[in-house]
Amino acid sequence: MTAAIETAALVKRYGKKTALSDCTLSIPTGHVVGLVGPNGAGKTTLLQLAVGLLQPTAGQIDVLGHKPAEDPAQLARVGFVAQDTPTLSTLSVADHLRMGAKLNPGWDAYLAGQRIEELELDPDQRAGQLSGGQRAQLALTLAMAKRPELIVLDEPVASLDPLARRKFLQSLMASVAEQQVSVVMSSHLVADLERVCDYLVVLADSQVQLSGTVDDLLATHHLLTGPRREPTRWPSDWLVIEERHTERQTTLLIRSSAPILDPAWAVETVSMEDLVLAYMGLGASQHRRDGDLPGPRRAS
Amino acid sequence: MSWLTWRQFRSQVWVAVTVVAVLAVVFAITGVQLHHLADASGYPGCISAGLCHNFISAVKTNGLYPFLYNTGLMMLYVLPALIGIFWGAPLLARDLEAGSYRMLWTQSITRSRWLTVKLLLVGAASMITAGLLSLIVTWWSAPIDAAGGLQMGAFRLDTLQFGSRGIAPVGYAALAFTLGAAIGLLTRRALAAMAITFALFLAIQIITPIWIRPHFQAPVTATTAIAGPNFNIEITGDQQMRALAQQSPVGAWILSDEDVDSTGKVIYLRATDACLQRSPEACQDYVLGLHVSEKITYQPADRFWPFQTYETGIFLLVSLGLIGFSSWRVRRIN
Repeated sequence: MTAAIETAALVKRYGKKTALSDCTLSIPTGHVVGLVGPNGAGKTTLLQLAVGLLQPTAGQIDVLGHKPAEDPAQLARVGFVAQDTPTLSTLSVADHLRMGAKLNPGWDAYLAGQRIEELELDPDQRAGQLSGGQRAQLALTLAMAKRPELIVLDEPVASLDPLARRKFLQSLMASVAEQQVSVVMSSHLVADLERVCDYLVVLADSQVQLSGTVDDLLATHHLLTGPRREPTRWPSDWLVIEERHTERQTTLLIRSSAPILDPAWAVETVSMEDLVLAYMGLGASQHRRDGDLPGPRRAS
Repeated sequence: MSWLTWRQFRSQVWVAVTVVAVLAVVFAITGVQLHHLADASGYPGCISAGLCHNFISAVKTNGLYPFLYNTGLMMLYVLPALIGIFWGAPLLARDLEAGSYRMLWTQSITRSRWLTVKLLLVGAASMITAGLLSLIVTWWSAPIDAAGGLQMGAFRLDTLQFGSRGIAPVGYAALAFTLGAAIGLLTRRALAAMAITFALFLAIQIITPIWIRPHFQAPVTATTAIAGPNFNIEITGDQQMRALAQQSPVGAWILSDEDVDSTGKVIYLRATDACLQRSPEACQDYVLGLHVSEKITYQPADRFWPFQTYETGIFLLVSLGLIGFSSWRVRRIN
């Protein structure tokens, strides 16, 4: 099956500043993928490379099996909602839909009209006078109504208030369920993704730290608490992601497909947030060690 | 894409249509009257003799005609600059600056198409606007131009008139527009692009008539020796004077008019006391003794249309180059 986004040794530099270095990942289709990472991890760069707004400095990127934005057909396959959800401020909502119809051969006027109605947007209102939430909804409508196979959203809710954020994500999920479109959505807020994503990619330090379905990841990660132990020898089928020691207590975040049988450990299930934070920390520590020790990910 | 371009540009089109329509009415009414006035004052018979004083005096008695003549002249220099600044420079820069390019370039059209449609449609509007205005002004001004302008020394081929007559304004408009658009693509800031476009286009407007246009074709030189009684002396300034032996060729663009000595070197005649104190015979004898000639370098009147074609052709070629540059550049915006 072709991947939604597949990269190999992808590099993007702006002058001397490296935004993405040697990034290799494969994001499958058929999921709502959350791309999460700290600010400056290269999320926006990766997504803009995927929709063809940026060209790679080196390496490969394929989206649905084609080069990004290589021709109008490829552009039609991918919908994009950019960060801050830009629109044309002097054009009305209705003008935006008309533009969408003119610029996209697969335009679904019915879907667009219905969404605008449901959102109670005034078709005659200029986009510049819409609230941030309404503008984001308009941008999402444009991206949805072109009937793409993949929709890419770059921090679409970052600037919205909590209510608008929830409404946006709800309408995104409703559309996704109806249209069977793959979604890749970035955010630095795990809570946003937790509600909607079934697949998680953690990008830190321009490397993929973690990638998999949310169900798998939550089932194979465990938070263990027990009396203090020396951090030397753990069972060989454990992959220790994070360890913390106090005078009396040791806390571990481990990845293991086998159940934890040792009764000395109190086992808790992990939340997505725990997971993301732990793996983001991994990216940072790898960076500090700069390759002199193999990180846990590579040991697996 | 053409719908979107029209939608984003239509208010400017209405402004242009209104301005051109109002000017057309004003110039049409006064132009008919002006042409009647010309017919009644011995025009066009006076042209070949270079004796259209009656007509020009009649024109000057009504302050409206000189005003409209000068307005028409100025308008066709200002218009291309305005087109470059307000239509060209923001055309691409505004979408890049506002970030809306990220939305536009991810619709199902390539960014090259976005660029091409915008450049062609708004570029055509620019050229049509300039062409119409030039048509009106050229027709209106024709009798006055033929008489050598309000000062009776500058014909339509002259430095100032040339750029606001015939097809030249179309070339200027095309160049200003494509220059503005290309600069907007480079700066990605509308305001900066507008300022740079203004400065560069102003430079082009100044440089072209001074350094480029005179070289389209080698000028004609006419040298007449100051000998015998038929010459005039003109005190030109502080202790300086000119000896003049020729009629300027009618309709020509005079590039230089100098006194030269027998070796062809330019000499400046010093006004002697005899000449300053208006004792003509003594002065005449003094000048004759210097053995000078009057040398005029000029582009003859019949080169108006060839020069219009060269200048417009060059500007259109440069415009095409700028379009080529822009479409190369837009694919590399990262």
